[in-house]
Amino acid sequence: MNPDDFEQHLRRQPLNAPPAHWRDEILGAALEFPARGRGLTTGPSLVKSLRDWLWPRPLAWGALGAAWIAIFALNSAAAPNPAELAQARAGARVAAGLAVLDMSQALELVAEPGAHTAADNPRRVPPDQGCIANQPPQDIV
Amino acid sequence: MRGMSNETELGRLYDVHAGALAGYLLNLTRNEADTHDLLQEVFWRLARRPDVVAAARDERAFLLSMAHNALVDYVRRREARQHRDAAQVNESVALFAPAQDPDESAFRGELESALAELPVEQRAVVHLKLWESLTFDAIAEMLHIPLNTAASRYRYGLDKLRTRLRPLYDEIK
Repeated sequence: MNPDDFEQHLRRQPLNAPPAHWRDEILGAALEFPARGRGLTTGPSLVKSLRDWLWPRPLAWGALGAAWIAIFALNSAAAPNPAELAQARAGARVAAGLAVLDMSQALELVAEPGAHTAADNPRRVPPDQGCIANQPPQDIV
Repeated sequence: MRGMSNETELGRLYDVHAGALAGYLLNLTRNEADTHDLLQEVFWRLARRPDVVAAARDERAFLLSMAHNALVDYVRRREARQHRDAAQVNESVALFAPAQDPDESAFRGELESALAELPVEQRAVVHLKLWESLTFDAIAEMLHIPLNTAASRYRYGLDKLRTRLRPLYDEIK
């Protein structure tokens, strides 16, 4: 079978013409409502388009919605109540006060270097490095 | 085309191109009602934007492209609603004109069935190449696919048709 002959034979198969009554129907519909067709995003069409877009995976959309609701609920449940909020604020204020206090003490030390004597800092003894070197040799029994 | 001439121009477009558009749509949808709706969609869009065709380089290719886009929307909607199953999509349709010769008539029937068995992507390219004589360039542009893809889809599709129709073709040639 020659490929070209086969292709040519296929090409020669005539396609059916559309039914004659389609012409009036199609052209009539196209000309009658040129501004109100299916392609316009009017209210119902927009709703329909959205529905068509959302509908393919209803389970997935439902799961996504449920996940959002769960996240929102957890977020609301985890939010502190007014009493906890007030307590937290008070804690924050105390912490801030302590920080200021520490800062002022540090500044005092810098301002009076003499006041900071060696006595304030006890001599640091290095950790025991092992007593073997300092011990007198012992007889091995 | 403006005003009253809109109707005349739309009628001319229908008379010149509706057969080709309907053939393409029918081959891909395998459903007469859907073909009618899609053809109506194309002409409704043309009535809304009558100037778009005038700017087209190739009127037929442009209208086929419009039909193809309408078809893509239709497939998306159909898949979304899942109203139709594969059996309905591949229903028997009178794609080819009836033939007087019984052998030729049988061949056309087999060809119609063989086309229905092709994947839609291959069927689209085979149709546009064989019955619309579009170049692979035009087909690739219309279907938004690379040129090589268009060519390979045609080759695969034609090979399948050849394999399927070989016995019948050998008889009638």
